[in-house]
Amino acid sequence: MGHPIAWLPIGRRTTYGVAMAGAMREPTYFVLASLLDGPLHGYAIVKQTAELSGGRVRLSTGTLYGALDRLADEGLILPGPDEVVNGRVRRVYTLTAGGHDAVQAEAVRFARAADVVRQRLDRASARRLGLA
Amino acid sequence: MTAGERIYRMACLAYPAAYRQRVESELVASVLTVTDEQVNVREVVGLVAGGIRRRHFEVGRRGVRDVVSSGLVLAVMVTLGSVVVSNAFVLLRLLTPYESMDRAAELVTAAYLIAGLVGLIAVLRGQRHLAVAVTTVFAVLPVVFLALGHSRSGVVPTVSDIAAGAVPLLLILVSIWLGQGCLRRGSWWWIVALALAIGAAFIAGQSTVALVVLTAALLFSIVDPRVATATAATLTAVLLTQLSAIYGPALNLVPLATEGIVLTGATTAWAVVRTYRSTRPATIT
Repeated sequence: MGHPIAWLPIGRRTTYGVAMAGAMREPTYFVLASLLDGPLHGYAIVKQTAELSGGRVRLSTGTLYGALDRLADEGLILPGPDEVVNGRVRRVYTLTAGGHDAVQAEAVRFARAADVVRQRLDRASARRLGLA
Repeated sequence: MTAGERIYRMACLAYPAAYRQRVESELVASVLTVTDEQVNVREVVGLVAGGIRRRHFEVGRRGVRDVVSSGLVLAVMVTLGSVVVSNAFVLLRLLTPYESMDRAAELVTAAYLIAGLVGLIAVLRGQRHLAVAVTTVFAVLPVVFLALGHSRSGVVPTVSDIAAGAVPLLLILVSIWLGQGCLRRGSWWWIVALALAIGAAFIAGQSTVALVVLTAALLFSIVDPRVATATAATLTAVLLTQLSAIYGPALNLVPLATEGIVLTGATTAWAVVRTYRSTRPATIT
């Protein structure tokens, strides 16, 4: 027999599938997308994310590492071992198969949403020009 | 070490200690590369905010039930702690030669002080049964005094006194029901409990001060929602005593219920929402 208040939504852990059934936030999306070409370390992810988003997403280092921790917890990325380069500690992060699927699913969702709007825009333009 | 590195390392203090030990070097190395070793306010704020988020995440991943349960244990400690502090002061005052020598009042105050101390130690040492026994004594004491027809101040205890006496017992029972009931080994909560207890002992009859304490606790709950839960529970007890003092024997239950419910509801809701949000994955902004 479970706890008497087990029916309450208290203490339940959300899973990636449930939480991500909705939209992935833009910074998360671009962090995952930045790892598609191969493993990167923190600074490179910040740069790549800014580039991919056209400068819209500018992650601070604190925000980035919070995101990387969570994504690693959810199994979407894999942190590598510490390495020392020019006297500074750094670590590379690799996209996992799950992370690849997640970013692909989100890209498809974005594309579908864009298609719907594009079709409506085309119809509206055609109506305005008297073609419909 | 450059000025930038020193400042970034200080900002990293916002992270939980164990986490900081693991990632500080990498974090500081990255931020120094990003900022070209210069001090950047946005990065400093980002590190502090990241540290606070991480603290919330680590508390939140244990689940809301655990947070509420821990908060209630903290509230028991605060309630018992404030009993110890306030009765210690009353006893000191009674023992000064200028005060009237009221033997019965001294004995009752000493009884409360000892019971509070034993209860507090029991909670600290993880002795659930003893803690429940002592808090039961607390709940029963006002009823006994009511039956005997007197109290420390020579006035028959009111309904509020009895209710306030029952609060620690109620809190500890709910906490045990939720799966805890006592302080965890190695927890540093006794420091927070002591500070809050001293505050709670001195705010009797001061609604404004109680609100200031609540606001401060809400701000602190940005770091840890367990404090908000504890404050909500503690304030309910404090408000019972305050309103008893304000309204006297003709206790008006309507404002008591309104004020108590609003404050407790707001604080608890805040704690639960913060905790729940912190457990959601991939919610970075």
